[in-house]
Amino acid sequence: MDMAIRIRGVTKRFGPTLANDNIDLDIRQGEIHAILGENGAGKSTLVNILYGLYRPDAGSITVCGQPARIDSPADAASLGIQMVHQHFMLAVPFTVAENLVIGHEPRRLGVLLDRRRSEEIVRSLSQRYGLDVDPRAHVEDLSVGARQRVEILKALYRDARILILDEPTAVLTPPEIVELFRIMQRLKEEGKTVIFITHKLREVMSTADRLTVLRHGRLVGTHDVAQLNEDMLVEMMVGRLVDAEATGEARQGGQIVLRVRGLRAPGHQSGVEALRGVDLDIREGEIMGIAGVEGNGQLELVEALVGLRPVTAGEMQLDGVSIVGRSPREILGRGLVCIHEDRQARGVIGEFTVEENLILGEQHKPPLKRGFFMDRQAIHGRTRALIEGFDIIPPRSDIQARYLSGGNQQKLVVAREMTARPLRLLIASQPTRGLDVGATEFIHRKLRELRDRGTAVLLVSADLDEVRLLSSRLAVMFKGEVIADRPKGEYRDAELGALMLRGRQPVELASERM
Amino acid sequence: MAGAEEARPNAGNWLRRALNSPFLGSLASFLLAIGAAALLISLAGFDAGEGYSAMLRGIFGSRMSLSDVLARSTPLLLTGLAVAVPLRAGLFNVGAEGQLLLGALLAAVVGMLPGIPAWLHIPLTLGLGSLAGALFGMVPAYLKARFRAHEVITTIMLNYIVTLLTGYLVNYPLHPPDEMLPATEIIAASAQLPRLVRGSQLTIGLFVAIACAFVLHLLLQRSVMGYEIRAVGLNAEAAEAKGIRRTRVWLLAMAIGGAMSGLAGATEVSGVQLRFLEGFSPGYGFAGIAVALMGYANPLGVILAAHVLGAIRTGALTMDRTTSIPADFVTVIQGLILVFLSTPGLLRLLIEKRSPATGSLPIEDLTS
Amino acid sequence: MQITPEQIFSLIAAGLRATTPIALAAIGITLSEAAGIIHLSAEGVMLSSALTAVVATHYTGSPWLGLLTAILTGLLFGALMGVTAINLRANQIIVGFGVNFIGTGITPVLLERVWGSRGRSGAVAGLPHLEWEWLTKVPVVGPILDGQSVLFFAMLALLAVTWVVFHRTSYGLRLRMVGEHPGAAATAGIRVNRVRYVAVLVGCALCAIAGAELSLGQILLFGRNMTAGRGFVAVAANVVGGWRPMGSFLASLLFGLADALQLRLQGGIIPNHFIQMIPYLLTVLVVSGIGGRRPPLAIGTHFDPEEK
Repeated sequence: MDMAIRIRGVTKRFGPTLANDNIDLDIRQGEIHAILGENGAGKSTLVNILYGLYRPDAGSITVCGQPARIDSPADAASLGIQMVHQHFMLAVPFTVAENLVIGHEPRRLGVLLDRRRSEEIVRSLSQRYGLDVDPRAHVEDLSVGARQRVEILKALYRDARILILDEPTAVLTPPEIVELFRIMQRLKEEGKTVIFITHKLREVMSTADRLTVLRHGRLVGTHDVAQLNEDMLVEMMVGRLVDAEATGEARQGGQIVLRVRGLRAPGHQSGVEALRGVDLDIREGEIMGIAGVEGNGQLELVEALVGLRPVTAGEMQLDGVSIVGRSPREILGRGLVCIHEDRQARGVIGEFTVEENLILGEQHKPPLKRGFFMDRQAIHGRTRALIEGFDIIPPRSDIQARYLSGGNQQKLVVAREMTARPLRLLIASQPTRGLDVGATEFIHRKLRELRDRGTAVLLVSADLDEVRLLSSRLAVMFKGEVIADRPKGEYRDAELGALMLRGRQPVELASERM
Repeated sequence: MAGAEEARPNAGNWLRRALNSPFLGSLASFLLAIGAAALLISLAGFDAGEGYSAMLRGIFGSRMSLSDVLARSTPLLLTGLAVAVPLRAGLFNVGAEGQLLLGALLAAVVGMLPGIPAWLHIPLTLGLGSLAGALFGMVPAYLKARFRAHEVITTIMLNYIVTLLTGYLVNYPLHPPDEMLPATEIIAASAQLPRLVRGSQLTIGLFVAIACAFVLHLLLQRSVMGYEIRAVGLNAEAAEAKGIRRTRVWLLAMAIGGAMSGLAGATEVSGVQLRFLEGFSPGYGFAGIAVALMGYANPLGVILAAHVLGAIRTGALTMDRTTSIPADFVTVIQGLILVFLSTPGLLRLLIEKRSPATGSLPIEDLTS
Repeated sequence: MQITPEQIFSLIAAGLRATTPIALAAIGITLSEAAGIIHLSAEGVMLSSALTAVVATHYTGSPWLGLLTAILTGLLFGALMGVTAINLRANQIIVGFGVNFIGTGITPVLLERVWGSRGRSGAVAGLPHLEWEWLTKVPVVGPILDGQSVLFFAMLALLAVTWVVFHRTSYGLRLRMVGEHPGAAATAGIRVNRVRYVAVLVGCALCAIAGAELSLGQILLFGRNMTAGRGFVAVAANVVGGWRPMGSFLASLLFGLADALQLRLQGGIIPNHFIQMIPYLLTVLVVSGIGGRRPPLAIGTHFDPEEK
């Protein structure tokens, strides 16, 4: 059969979200096939279905001509499908050889682990596929790129015929990325089929044979890479950008609240910089939106600003005072407040009541504190006002926050952060992720109100529509730098997408070609 | 992930919610433990009914028995608080026994000092005993903050170190020349706690202990310090993100816990033993773990749990005297209580298997 | 003060005698914890098994059946710990203390049933000791090994076997990986919870054998609370030994020799109390990062095969 995998009508729903919407896709034997799309487009869901981690609500899958029922990774493995996850499944204190053979160990005398044979296996696979690793090295000493090679070898050891790589380049340095592409070619030469997920255009153009673009859970199209150029891709991924809503957002900001110059910060590996000289000004009374594909340094920028990530060079000034090297507590005290990405981990204390959550961060200051104890009257008053003002449902101060829906939990966090004192700059990081339309619009409204009262707001969101909608100014981040910083209206239609996805202006505007 | 609470007014939903109430969970564990213990004792060939009725006689039989129960509950209440408060901050204080011994020793030493009037001597003894416990309690907190040393291991080891240390002190430097037992001198009369009931071991220590429980309850619920302790215990990440330093909270919580154990030792010495006798503690510190868990780490719950445990321990003595079942058997009940309390809703798990979960479920799991 | 060679040999022999129960328990703890199950219940398991061993020997006359009964007791506790820790996702620290309480509480009850005493049992037949005439004539080794319990040699054999299994077999690799990164093991097709069950059962069985050594191997009777904290010394030995069989053994050896030493130094220059503190002080130092290894990364955590 020519088709390695045939997907027909696959649909998957998680609660209110339709992650995969009736997807039809063919993956050819022996090809390198890229699945492209923004975050939330449904790529991970689709491959997790192929790997047996999720079961589709509808649709069918055929593997090498045979209808397949993939209920678990073990089923997938028996069909020759192996996956290399973004977060490696490697036991760090053990050696490469040990990690590789675990579960299928070569033995001597039936029980003893045959180390020599294990190492040989690693070496021979290494050589055959051009994946350079030392079988005796301990995984904890290996670079991320090397660890990924071990993961790939693991898949190959288990007789993978179809390899799925989930965002393989997200954690690699540029030279490691080049190496990975060479490896993928080699795998193809050896007759393997490779599926890889990415949101980086450049990689797709340079490695894949064919690609598929997903957007909002739907398949936009499958094409031969040779027949495409990057601009066409941009349009497929992001859609036409002409319909920027005119909501009168373009306003002049006032005084500069946050000034960032030449900010550099390390990434997850040594030798990799996540921020490579960021320059940014945020003014009172404006919403500065950061547009950019996730993974270009936005998260690291937020962490650096709140004091959770060390800065190696450059300057950050809040109201003229340097905040480089200060503790998160100090920075908070100076008025830099953040709505964090992960509200479960950092935002909400589930077992605390709504009221108790609302005072977090303010509990030790008057008027909430009176002498040694907390002033209940003041607290109750504040809670009532916030519950009303932010429409938290159910409007009860005494229920535990974990019983609130996601949207209401986020409203709680937003209520708390927006009323923190002092408040000079509010960073909203993915503020409406996972929320329904109603909650989203509510939070948008609140952000605008805050801006209207003169506070500076920094909006970081993977949802481009949201960023475009709310911001007065838009900055584009690409590979750790801010490559454009203008009032929203000054971006031409296709320019924004091109800047985000390719880091430069479009050669010719797709809309003009139509 | 939290989901909106769907109103499904069926029996399973109601039952599940009832079973998640801390009080019922404790009660269920206690009853299961009594039942399982009865089974074990029968298997060993004894008469469970005889044993338990002797226990009840020991608890309710006479006026004296009530005083005994209260007297025995006093140190348990304090060690229960000693484990409960750090637990709210997310720390496991298994070192109550050692902290108790240190407080006891200091109380004995201070208690022996002559010429101090009673109105000063008693607070001094109790106060310094608590202080000793507090300072010593901060050691494992410091080791955890600085070196990430797990507090269970350090506190267990420190217990033994202190037991040996006090053993040495009491057998050599502090040992009076004509004393046969491994003990110090009797403390001065001015340091001895007044008895509440003549002829019993019940002292004003009980009031001190109950007062501590109320103070700590107020502290946890109403004060900023208490809020920060609870925040760190429930979600240290979120607390730190809003400026609360977890290491500082740990030191504070363990200081309070250590102070309570130290006070337990001090009240025992000042009120019951009247000197430091090696081995005087029948595992009060460890029993505190059971008390704290039974009370769901709530100081008011600890008051109740301490008296329940104090009651069965008192009853056990009568059982020992009047039947052939040794008093040690009550330790089995204690152990079974711990085993049942350690499983996050054993019963809930059984219910869950039969009816599908609706969105999120409250998981009252202090211990994970 | 003259120190004669005989005294040294006698000290070492005593040290080895003291080491045997601790090492057996420590190795058991190592196996259990290496697979990720916190094992604080050695004290309770040892004490209970010491008693059941004596009880069985009393009724059957055979110390070997006593040993077998001890092992069965250990397996019973192991099953309890396994079910609570794995199936019921209990907090393993609390369960450990619970088991200790149960062991400490149930033994006097059983003691009362069988002998009507609260203090100690009657004397029973003991496990054999090494008593070869010619051995006493061998220099150095002779006086040290002469009179050692059969379980001392069993302990050495178990150490060797455990060492081989731990470091050289595929089973050992799986066991260790389950304790460090159960996710990685699971994706490789290993049944994580089953490996943990076996580890905790074997671990408790070893603690039980340690208990049997205390009663049947050395004193030939059961005395109330006869473990006297040795279960926690074994926990300490495992920590100081770095969660490895050989390390646990060497740490146990150190503690055993220290124990023998402090008995002989009663009333000497350094009070014996302080020598007895050595195991505990060392553990605190190790756990504070001064030397030694860290515990297995996934220790104490629950593993749910269904979780994605």
